[in-house]
Amino acid sequence: MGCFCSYVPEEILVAGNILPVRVLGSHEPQNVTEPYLFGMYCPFCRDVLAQGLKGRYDYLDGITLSQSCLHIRQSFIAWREHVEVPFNYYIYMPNKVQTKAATPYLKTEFEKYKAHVEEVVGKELTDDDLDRGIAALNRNRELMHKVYEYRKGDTPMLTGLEAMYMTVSGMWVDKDEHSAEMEKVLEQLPDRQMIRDTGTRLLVVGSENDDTAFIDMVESVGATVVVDDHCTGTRWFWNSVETGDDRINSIADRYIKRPPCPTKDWEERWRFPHILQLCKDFNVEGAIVIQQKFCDPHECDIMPLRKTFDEANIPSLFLEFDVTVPIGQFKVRVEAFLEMFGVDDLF
Amino acid sequence: MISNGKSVAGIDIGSRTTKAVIWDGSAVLGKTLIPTGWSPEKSAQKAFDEVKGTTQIDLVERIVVTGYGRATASFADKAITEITAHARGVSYLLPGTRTLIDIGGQDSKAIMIDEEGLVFDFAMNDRCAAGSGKFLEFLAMTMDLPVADFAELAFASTDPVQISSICTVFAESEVLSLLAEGVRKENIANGVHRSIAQRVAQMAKSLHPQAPGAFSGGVARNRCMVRELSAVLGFEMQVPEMPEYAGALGAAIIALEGIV
Repeated sequence: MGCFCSYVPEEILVAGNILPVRVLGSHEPQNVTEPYLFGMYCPFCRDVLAQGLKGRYDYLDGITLSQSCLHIRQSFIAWREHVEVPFNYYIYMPNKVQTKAATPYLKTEFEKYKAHVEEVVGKELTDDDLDRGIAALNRNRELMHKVYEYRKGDTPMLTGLEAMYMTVSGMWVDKDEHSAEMEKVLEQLPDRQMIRDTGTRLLVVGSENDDTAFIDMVESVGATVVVDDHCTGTRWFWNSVETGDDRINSIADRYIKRPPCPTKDWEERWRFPHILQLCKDFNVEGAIVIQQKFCDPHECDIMPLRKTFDEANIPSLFLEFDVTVPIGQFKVRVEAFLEMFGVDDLF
Repeated sequence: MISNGKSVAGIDIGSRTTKAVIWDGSAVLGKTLIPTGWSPEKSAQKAFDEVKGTTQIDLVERIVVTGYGRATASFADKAITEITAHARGVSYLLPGTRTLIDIGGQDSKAIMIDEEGLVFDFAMNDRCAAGSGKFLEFLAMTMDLPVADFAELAFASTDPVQISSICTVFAESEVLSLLAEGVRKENIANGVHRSIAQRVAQMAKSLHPQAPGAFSGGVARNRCMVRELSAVLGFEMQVPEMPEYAGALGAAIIALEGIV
């Protein structure tokens, strides 16, 4: 099941023995989306739709959108209309999550989605099925937390690039298989010898980010990405489902209370204290604010986010991403940013 | 800075020109500027050989390179970004500078400098030549003028026309339309300068710029650009001696600080 956005309740899919697959882009220039997406839709949404139009997700039996922003919604709608796929479903995930009505509302929506999944798999999902789905996701999240713990020390035991491969692969691979691999990693991490200098400890923050070439470049010039706030990273796995008798209610509550995307971060700001806590816990020295060009929700957060960093004395670098990023030009900015930290190393 | 008789070199391998200086801690002993051409590494080596040849120095103790071609100069001891280099050079030439604008061949930068002469924030133009020296060159070419004459023509105008296009190619079309309408050349030239100044100031204002301001890079020789930048930023932009060498000098200063 192709998942548009990280608010799709994967627990229900796994309960139905369906493999959730986050639909991501390919970071290649393309020319197939112009008829369906206006020029100022974000490059990620464009890249996502291009994959569908080019048949690169032809193995999908269905697609699901959980409402977040209008850009990815248009990608979903265009995909639904122009790419052959047996099933599709649009979950009306509320943007107003900061209200008592949010969880009961989402519970109703997730119950409708459960009925859709039952139609797809041709059988009813029992409480045991849902428990299995919840357990698989929770175990996977718990293991990712344990791996992230190894990034907090003076010498992070894995690079930001490795962490990105871990989280993004978790969005595609069977959860139990992925968890089994992470358990193997966790056995090896304590004894791992890191032969690289940690350099400046960075947080990367923004919308979707699976740009491995960029993270690799950043970590090649004297830095380590120690934590992130991305929907392909911590925002996706940070909190677990607190199990209760009403499984769907518990799942809904998890998605209402997770670290929010900016579309859902109002009226109170939950994001900024959460991000500052990440900075504190992971001993972050600087932040790279990664902005997908034209991503309105994140764009509107740039000013208050950078102000939040300024007030916490955390220098930040703003970079605007497109489908492909100019690594050379970004390298100058990143190196100059890192030179601000390493004044003593300059000479 | 006391050099104990040691001399060092700083080389700024820019997208258009390569600048090199020999520095002994108190004076620039030699300087050279050559076109970068297709090979930044060869240009850097050539600039270094040339500048060394102009001095009586036998031994250059350390070489620090900067600029977009910095990674190619394998003979250098160290490479730093042009942002740090320009800030260092200008802080030496104009102590106390807090806001530095550097307009180079293909990019422009706003650099914020603290009380100790260290960079604490910066911004650069993205993916586009608007607000760069190349934009100026291109529009001068459109009006069939050498850049220096284009700048002086612009300086003579007090009534700039508005150039709305940010894109270099579209700006050319706009200029051609204005010429066809009979708008005076000097007012168009001034409008082009103001357009660049506004583009750069827009970038700088995201950093909350403050006086004293300075302007480095080759384009700082253009007095119309100095005037327009000062006007849109709201404070005077001072131009250091040999502004095009500020990056190379900054690299040399860092080279010397590393050995004394």
